Amino acid sequence: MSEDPADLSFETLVATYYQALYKFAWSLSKSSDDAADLTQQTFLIWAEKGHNLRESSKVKSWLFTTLYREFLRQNRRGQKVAPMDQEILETRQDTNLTSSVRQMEGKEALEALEGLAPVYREPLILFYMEDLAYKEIAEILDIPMGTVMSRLARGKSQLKSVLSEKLRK
Amino acid sequence: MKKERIIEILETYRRGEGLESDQEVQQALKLAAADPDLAQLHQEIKEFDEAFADTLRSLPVPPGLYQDILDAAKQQNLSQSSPRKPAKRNKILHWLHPAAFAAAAAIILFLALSFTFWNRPASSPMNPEFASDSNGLMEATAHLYANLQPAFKSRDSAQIVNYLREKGGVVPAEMPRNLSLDQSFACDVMEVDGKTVSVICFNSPTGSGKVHLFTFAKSAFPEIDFSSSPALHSAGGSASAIWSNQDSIHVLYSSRGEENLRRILDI
Repeated sequence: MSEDPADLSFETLVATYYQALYKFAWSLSKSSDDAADLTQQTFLIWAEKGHNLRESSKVKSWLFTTLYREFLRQNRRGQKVAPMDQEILETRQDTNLTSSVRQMEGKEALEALEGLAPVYREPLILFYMEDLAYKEIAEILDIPMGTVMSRLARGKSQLKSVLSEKLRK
Repeated sequence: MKKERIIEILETYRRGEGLESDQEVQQALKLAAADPDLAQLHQEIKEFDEAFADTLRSLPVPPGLYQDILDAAKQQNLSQSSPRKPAKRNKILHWLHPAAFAAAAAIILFLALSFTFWNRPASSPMNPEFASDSNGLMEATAHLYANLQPAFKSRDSAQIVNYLREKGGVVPAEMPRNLSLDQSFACDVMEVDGKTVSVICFNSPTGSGKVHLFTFAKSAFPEIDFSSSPALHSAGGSASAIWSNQDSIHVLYSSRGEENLRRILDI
């Protein structure tokens, strides 16, 4: 039933995905300019190589994967999991945390995520911002689905600790 | 199973991910359902996730970025050689009459144009060529989703309905079979050229992402004789369904593909 991604005009493809890609790029690079460059570069790569994509349902994850790889290429760095000094799994969620989050601005939420190691931050961004399926997150980050889930669990735990700390200040 | 492990599973469990077949997940969900504290915790986890996701998605995007990308592609002569293959025909379900399909396309294109107009960034991604393209149905629904910025957020369905009424929006007379207003979390009412559109955003009851229901008054399109059977259309992983009932015309959009809509519409 799906249309061929090649049937999407370049303009439409950009209009559809540039905002989401920019936000993901921003979360990776922590810089508005770098995020804009990464987003632009991703679409230029699509214009050159997108025709190789066989499955139309994967346009979105193709773009996210390409952006992520481009980010890694530009910022070569290890992807080793940072040791968890204090892994906190609270048995009770702080309900004030949820209402505080609702009052937050997007930039503040991103700042909280910046306090996490990249291995936790990246799947969390894709989980929260794009609501991508775990399988898609696994493809984009090139890690097994089980790893996505364990990093999400630990990342969310760390995120809540960071937010709680932030709110206490 | 240790409580910490149950919580870890609750933190990552999402319907629609195929996790239910895992015995450990099954056991954790069973234990959580039987324990009021864990059940409440599970609910709070979901509420936190939704709140954080909504906040994160509100990040601003530079208004000129869309045009910058197109200009860069043009400079490198890439947009002309975008990876196009020979055009294919739309694969609309054939049980929809061609006239009704044309009407559906008209509605969707109006929605896309209007919605983009209402949410127009400084450098608009709206492209007139896109609107006149016969493949516009597929592309327009993607635009709708891409530009979606609902003005009112609430998890109280009564408040959602009140907001729509207060703003003069069309409140759907009846919901799709497997969709309930209780699953709504945001809405908006917009008016362009004297035509009013309501949009209600839902957490998908299938647990797979979110869905958005756009509703028009039928009287806004007196020339259209619309089918009451939903017409489905998919593009790039997203899908939309269009149908009418009583005095309304509905467009249901999902970024998680056609199967999600089929389950909601029970078709």
